Amino acid sequence: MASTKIWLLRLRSSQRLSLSVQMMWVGIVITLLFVLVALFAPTLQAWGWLQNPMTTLTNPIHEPPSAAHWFGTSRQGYDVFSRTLFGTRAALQVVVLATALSLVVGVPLGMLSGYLGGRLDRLLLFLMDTIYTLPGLLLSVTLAFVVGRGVLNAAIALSIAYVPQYYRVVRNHTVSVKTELFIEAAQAMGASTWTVLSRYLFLNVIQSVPVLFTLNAADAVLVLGGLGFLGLGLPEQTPEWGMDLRQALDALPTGIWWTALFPGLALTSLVVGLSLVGEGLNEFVNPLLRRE
Amino acid sequence: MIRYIFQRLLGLLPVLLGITLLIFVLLRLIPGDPAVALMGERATPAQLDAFREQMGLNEPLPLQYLSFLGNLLRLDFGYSIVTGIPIVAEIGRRWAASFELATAALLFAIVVGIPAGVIAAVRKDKWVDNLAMTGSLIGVSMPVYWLGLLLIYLFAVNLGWLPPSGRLGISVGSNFQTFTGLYVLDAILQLNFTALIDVLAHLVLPAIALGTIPLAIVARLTRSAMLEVLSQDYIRTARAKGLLERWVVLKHALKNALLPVITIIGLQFGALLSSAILTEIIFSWPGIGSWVYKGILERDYPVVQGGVFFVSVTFVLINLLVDISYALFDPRIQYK
Repeated sequence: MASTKIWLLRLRSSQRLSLSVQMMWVGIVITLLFVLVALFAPTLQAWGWLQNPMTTLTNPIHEPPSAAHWFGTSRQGYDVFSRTLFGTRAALQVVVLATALSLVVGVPLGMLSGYLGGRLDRLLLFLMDTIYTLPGLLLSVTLAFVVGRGVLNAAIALSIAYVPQYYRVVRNHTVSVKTELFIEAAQAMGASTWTVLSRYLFLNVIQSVPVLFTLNAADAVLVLGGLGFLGLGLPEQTPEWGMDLRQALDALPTGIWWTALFPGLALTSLVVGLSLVGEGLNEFVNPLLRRE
Repeated sequence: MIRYIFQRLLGLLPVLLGITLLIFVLLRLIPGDPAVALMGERATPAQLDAFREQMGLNEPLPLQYLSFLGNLLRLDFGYSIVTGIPIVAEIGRRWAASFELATAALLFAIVVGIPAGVIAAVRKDKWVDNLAMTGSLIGVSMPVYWLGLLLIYLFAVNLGWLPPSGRLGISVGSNFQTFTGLYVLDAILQLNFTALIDVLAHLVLPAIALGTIPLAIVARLTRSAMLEVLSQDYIRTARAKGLLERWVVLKHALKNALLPVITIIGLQFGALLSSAILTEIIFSWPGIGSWVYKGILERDYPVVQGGVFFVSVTFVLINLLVDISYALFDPRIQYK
């Protein structure tokens, strides 16, 4: 609780600080807007304000934006406005799941590896470094190809690139914290490994995790779109920006711009929002990085 | 120095081994029978058996891994299931296209990014700086598969200035010989200037699409490196001597600020090879990326595996080269 208070205090005093902390508020607003859209898209649809993103038959094909279809319709007769809004749901769902997954795997592994050391530590370090050396997009594409389509599958494919990041940060933190006096005291009192890890180490080694979380989320939105563009990721009919952009590519030579413009605009805005939040958080979790 | 390079090369071995292990494990992760996955659902049981025998799928896993390694060492990546063409031959035919695209994209990033970063640093907190930094934030956030579409719509479909796809126009293609596979180089070597213009015109849009993210990164890094250098004492001394501001910025500051920028440029080159997959699809660029994409669509396993392995190894090798050249350029690094 005390730490929350300190955070809030820092948050307040930071308003005078740097540009990127100010920009963080812009990022938070953008991100919240997308969260709201994701939450309320089904409600809007239930009220009849938004078309079902899977409906095709009753719509004209490739119609430019109009009062009936704000963002026009696609080649399959999808309502682009509805697809774009519902795409937010897919993006946030997968991205939150993927980052949570990499957190759940990476943080405990990092703590164990750093705390126990020895052969386990070396093995895990080697494994994680190998994964880390490879470009994330390539890894995710390979894994997505192997595991097939689906929300959980896509999340797994995305998370493989992020696990090593959490692992490394937490492991290095653990290695430096475990020599502190309070850990030794706990060990001397006969605390089990589990108690030391969960009660004394955990909160001390996860400060950098929120920053990683938001920055990875921004990246994950891009990679998920990339998977969709490659025909991987989510099931065929699901409204997802990347896949819709792939469809838009085929229609582009005939001058149909609306199917390409809107999903991409939504995707880019969400990434900008998340990046702003991540960079702002970074400045205040790691004040040393702050430039004058 | 030679000792240092040797040590770095030696340190590469476990990483390469790790990559092969990773790819091997991924291959075995396919749900169900790998033979069915590789041969397709229509294969008869007899065909499947023969295939398992041929691929050594009946052997224990560690043995399978060893023979997989052996094949890789002999540069034997197998054959495409769909076309039957050896993977190595296909990579040999296509790598030049990807290489040319990545180089062009990187050149674009450097030529625009470094000046933008320098100007932003010199005019810190002025409108030029804010514009450049906002631009670079949007640049890193914009996926290549959206930017590419926007570029095609604007410059190819709407204005008609540049071709939307491919590497070569039909009119030029018939009497154009390729030796190196790098079309720009081929055109120059043959002094065929109509072809050169055509090749360059095809290269512009994909290079911009692929180069935008590195451009944004280079601009940001140049700016922050310049800001740091400009606050140093020797810059103040240079100014106090009454040197022209332009001279101070370009000669005294930029030279020192470039070192971290060069590193990141090298690292970006490796990253470009993987994001080129998306760019190549958009612009129908006949490189490694569009080939892997075809492999994904047709579930052509050896193609995906070979492509991923090739890109990963290139990526790791380029990173190593960057590290070594960094040590060469920076006398402060000790080779221990």
